[in-house]
Amino acid sequence: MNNRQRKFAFAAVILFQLVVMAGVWVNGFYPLWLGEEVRLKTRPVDPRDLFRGNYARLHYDFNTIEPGESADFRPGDVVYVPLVRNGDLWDPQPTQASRPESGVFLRGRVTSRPWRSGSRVTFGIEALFAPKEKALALEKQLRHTAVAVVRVAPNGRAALVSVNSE
Amino acid sequence: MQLLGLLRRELRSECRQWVDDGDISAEQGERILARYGTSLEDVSDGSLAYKVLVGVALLFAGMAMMLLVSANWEEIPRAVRMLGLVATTLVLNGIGVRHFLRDGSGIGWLFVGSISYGASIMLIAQIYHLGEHFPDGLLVWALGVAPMALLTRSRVITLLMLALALFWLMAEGQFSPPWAMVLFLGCSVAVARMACSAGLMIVTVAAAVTWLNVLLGWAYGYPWRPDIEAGHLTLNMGLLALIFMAGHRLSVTTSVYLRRTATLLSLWALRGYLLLLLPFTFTEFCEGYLKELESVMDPGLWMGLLAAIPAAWLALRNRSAHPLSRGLVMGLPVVMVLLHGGSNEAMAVPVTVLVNLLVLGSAIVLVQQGLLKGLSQYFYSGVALLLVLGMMRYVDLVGDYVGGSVLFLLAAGILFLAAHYWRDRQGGAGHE
Repeated sequence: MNNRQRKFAFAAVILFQLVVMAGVWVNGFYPLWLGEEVRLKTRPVDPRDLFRGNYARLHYDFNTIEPGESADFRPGDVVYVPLVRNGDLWDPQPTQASRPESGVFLRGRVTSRPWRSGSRVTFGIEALFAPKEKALALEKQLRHTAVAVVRVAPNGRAALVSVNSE
Repeated sequence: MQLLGLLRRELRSECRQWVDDGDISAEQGERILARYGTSLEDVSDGSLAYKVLVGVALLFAGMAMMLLVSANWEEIPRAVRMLGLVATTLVLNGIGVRHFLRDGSGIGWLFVGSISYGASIMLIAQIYHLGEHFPDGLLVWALGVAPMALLTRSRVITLLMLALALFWLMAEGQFSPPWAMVLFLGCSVAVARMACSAGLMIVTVAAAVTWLNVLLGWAYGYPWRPDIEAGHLTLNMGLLALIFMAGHRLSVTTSVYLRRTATLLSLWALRGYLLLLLPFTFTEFCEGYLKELESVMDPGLWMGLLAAIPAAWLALRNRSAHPLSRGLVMGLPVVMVLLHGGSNEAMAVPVTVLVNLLVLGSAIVLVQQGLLKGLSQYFYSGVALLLVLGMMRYVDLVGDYVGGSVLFLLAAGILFLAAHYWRDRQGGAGHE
């Protein structure tokens, strides 16, 4: 490989890294840009991520598929949760394997095998990154009254905007 | 086996002393050191200390950057935070590439640039609250570092890539079979070959063994999750045999780095073999293993055979290894099939006794080979193995007190015979 080819190869690698960073950004940003805003009940708890810092872990009722239903779902399966407006909040409907034809719905992925308490599903809206004190305060203050403000893209991909009091 | 080749720095230092003292000429010193891929003029000792310290400093700088990103600078606008880190990545990589193209330096800049690239991905994930489960972030980080490692042939950047890939393997391996690991292993082997690095080759082999164990876990638990089963031991028996024989096969090559790789492979495979054998000297462990095996349809057996059969073929062709190790490797596929095929707990006591005798035999061979070839690592490994075996059997009896006593008597008899045989041979050699 001569010097000119090497220069091109390095430029390609750096461009690839830029494209990856842009891809991660677009992936996180486009539901905020295109999505409809919904408000969902949630409960925060506080762990620490080795790479991304402190965050409040949010648990939603629809993160768990009931034991009876979960036998049909395997880890890695894509699932959908239709949302129905109920006043100021949106209520989750039973999890389904097929994409709803209309309405607002969340797209998630099964991340555990069926267990006594059911299977776990994640939707990409389970972490609110915040400084440690804020994450701990959120956990204490909003334990029973937290509402997640989420924007949901037409394909079900969701992005977390904020967590407020009910 | 070139165990001395693993101590090149010490050898170089000794050789310089011999030359200074007039014990050997400089030319002889050069010829001795050339056998181990080094020379009297080699000044890498001083630069190694520099490289290690700079490497650790760069790693700390990278960790500082990750922690800075983790600190959640809420008062700084999102766009400024993100563009700042992306720009930092571009600047670091730009400076690194410029230095590298000019005179082959700049690896430090590229290493920190690679960490900055990952920090950017993590920061974007943090800013946009991207999910709790984020192994994909690690995957794209490692994927971005891989071509940089290939282009620079840098060991330190490749090690960063492998570390990230292993983090990803552990994170993603819980949710799906981590097939993409093959890319990182391939990249690492390519860099190890281009950079003639025995150390990187060994780390890659260790990563490959970890990956194969995770894949076997998925073969057991598919589609729910990876399961740890008794068959994992069978797989690792096959892998150790293959690594050991591959080491012996490589030891005859003319390439110094491949010979060093071969020595390290054989040495670690031997240590792994001894560690794997020891639990099997306990009856309860053997019983559990035989009980858990899933007959001849066990995926662990089939994956183990995929490694053990080529190992047996290598053992058949390569006569440089000791007859006991060759015999064991050649017989391993049959032993594996017999254990899985006739897996019942009644076999536990005979298998335990056989393994105890095998450990004893291995220890004797290690002591004998250590003295014969002047390899102190082997000699002391053999002595330590004998003492550990004796202590374990005294605490944990096979076949109660009488059985334990018979086993000790048998062991004592074998040791006496081996000692006499050794003394007679030494005497014979002395007369010749």
